Amino acid sequence: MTSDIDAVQQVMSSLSDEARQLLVEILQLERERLHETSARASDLTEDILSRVKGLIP
Amino acid sequence: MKLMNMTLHNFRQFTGTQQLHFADSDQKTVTLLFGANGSGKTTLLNAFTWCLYGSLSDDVEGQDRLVTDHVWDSAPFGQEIGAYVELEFEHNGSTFRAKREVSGVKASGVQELGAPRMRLWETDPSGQSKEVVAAPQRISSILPEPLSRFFFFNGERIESLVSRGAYAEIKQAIKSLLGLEQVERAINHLPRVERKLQAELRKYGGEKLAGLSSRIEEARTSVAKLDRDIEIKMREHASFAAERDAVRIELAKHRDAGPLQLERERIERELGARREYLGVLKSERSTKVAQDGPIAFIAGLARKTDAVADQLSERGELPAPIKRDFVEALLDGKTCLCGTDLGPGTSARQNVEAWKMRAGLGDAEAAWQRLRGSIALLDDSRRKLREDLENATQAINQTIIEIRGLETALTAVESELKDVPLTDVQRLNDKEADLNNRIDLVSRSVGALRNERENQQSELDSLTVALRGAEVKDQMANRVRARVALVEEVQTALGRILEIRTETVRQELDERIRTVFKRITVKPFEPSLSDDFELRLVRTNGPSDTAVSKSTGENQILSLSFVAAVSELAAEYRKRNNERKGILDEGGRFPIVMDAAFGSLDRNYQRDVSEALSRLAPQMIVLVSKSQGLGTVMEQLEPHVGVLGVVTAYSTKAEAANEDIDLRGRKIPYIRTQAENDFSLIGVD
Repeated sequence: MTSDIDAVQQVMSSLSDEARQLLVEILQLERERLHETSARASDLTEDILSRVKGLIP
Repeated sequence: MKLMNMTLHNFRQFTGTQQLHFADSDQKTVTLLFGANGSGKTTLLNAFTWCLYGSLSDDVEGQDRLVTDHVWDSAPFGQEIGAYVELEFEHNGSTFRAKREVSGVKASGVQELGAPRMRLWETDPSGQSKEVVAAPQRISSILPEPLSRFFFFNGERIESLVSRGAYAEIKQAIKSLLGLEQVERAINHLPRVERKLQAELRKYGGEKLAGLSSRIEEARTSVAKLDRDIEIKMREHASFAAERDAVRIELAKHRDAGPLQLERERIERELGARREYLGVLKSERSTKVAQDGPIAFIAGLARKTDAVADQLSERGELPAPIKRDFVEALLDGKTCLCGTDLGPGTSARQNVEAWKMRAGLGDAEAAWQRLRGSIALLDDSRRKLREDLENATQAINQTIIEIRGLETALTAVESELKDVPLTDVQRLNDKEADLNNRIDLVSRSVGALRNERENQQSELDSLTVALRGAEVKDQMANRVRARVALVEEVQTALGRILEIRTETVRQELDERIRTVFKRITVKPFEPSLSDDFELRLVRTNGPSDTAVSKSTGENQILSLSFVAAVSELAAEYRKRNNERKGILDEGGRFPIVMDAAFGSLDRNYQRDVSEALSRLAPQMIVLVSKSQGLGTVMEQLEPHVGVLGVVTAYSTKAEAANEDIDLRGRKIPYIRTQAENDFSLIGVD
């Protein structure tokens, strides 16, 4: 398990700051979507795109 | 998810409002419910899935009759009648109350019910309560429906988990449970984002960038199509392999039948010989009895003869003091040995004649002597006769025991042979060869598709590099290109994370399944979870990596081990996640609800499984019949049982008899017949 965490950590630290931030935000979005407590069931494409544009304006 | 209470209201055979509290302490984790066939054990299992997901398993008959029949039948026309199931549970610190209800206005004897409605209330760890707006989604976030089949199941059907076709579902379910689904979803969403960005690039990037972008789009579409084709071929492969497995099992049965037939012939030969020998022994004993039997009855006669001889001897008559022949010779010669005249009329002659009367006969004396000698021999013969008869009886009894043993063995072999279908072996061999060919062809197609995919991926990588390096003057195009690169970077990273985590999860699950399997049984098999998440059973005392054709019992234990391992791992992932606040939402604690847990298991497996059940999950709800659950199962589970209950079946049947169940020294109604209606009542200790 430690090597697994290390390996994931390694992947994360090899990313640029923007990519790392985007990855965490996307996972957060996906998690919210999975746990969606509102009836909203929108496509995440637009949400992700707007975050990408926010990181590289 | 820790189950706390379930309330049933007019749901199927559970008439009125009935509540069941589940064992939830750390020490007593098992809720054990007994119920006769038809009492509603399967309905109880389905009450969980109906409440949470609105679904019933295929083995529930009359799925449109959700309201208790007699409640519907006895209601007046025009009245609204309803049923509901309410479930209270805890999950990750929050308390939930889920309620699904259904109702309809009676217009006929047929239950015409509206669509079931579900409501969910959540009380968070701070004590804040609210009704959840999107209840199905919230339930799905706690335990997605496809996963529920691993935790709410019928023990007799659980072996479908280990069928070849199940591996894709297993893989997906595990990903979902262990937090990898969100990564996979993200990976699926990102190409759509990139496609939009590529479109912008074609708009702002000029001819060169537009060209590169179009080619990238084409290559990406091609890679995605190849991935789908590979997946389809892999499914085909799994389906053919499953069919080939079934054919091989049939063939193995025929191969097994050969030695069984030889064994049957051997037993039959041996049985014939033993039966013949028994006949000989009995005949010999009869002959002995016929010939020497009377000897057994002369013990008194010998004693009497001895006594008479002794009396004669005591009286001096045996042996006689003078022989009659000698006296007659003296009388004939008319002179005594001493010279006295023995002429007729003399007193001396009268004296000697008196002796003649007292003299004994030589023949008679000899006969007496012979008789006494023979009587001594007859005693020996009697003793020998007794010994011979005892030996003969012992040999007969021994032979009867041997015959019974052989008859039992013959019945067992014949019963095994009965299970062997008389299918044409040649047809099976042909089918196996045909399936081998198909599998070979599919494997080659997969190989070709993978090569093609590799080429397309290389092309895509080169185009991507070219796009990144292309000279772009337009500022907007540059920004879009940077965004594309960012998305690609994240996409690659997520792919890598998914790969690492999937493999780690597989390895951990593989190890845990082995541990649980060993806890349940000492059979010389070892389960393994392949790279494709396929569950296999491998022999540990034979050639390495020999897959075992699984019996029902082994399948069930393998499946249980898998379920328990998933449950344990999910709980551990949740714990780890809480400790380190990871980026993935992983795991959770889940109960196992099992109907007919021991139905198809033999006694040894029943003991093993019941012994292991309490350790399979943090909470167990076990539904069993009296025949499945009393005895060994009850003995093993008893120390872990927090709630013990009986679902009493009330039946209108007049021909059946009432039945009780003895639990903890108390007689509890199990079946009650001649009731006014058919229904069931839950009673707990």
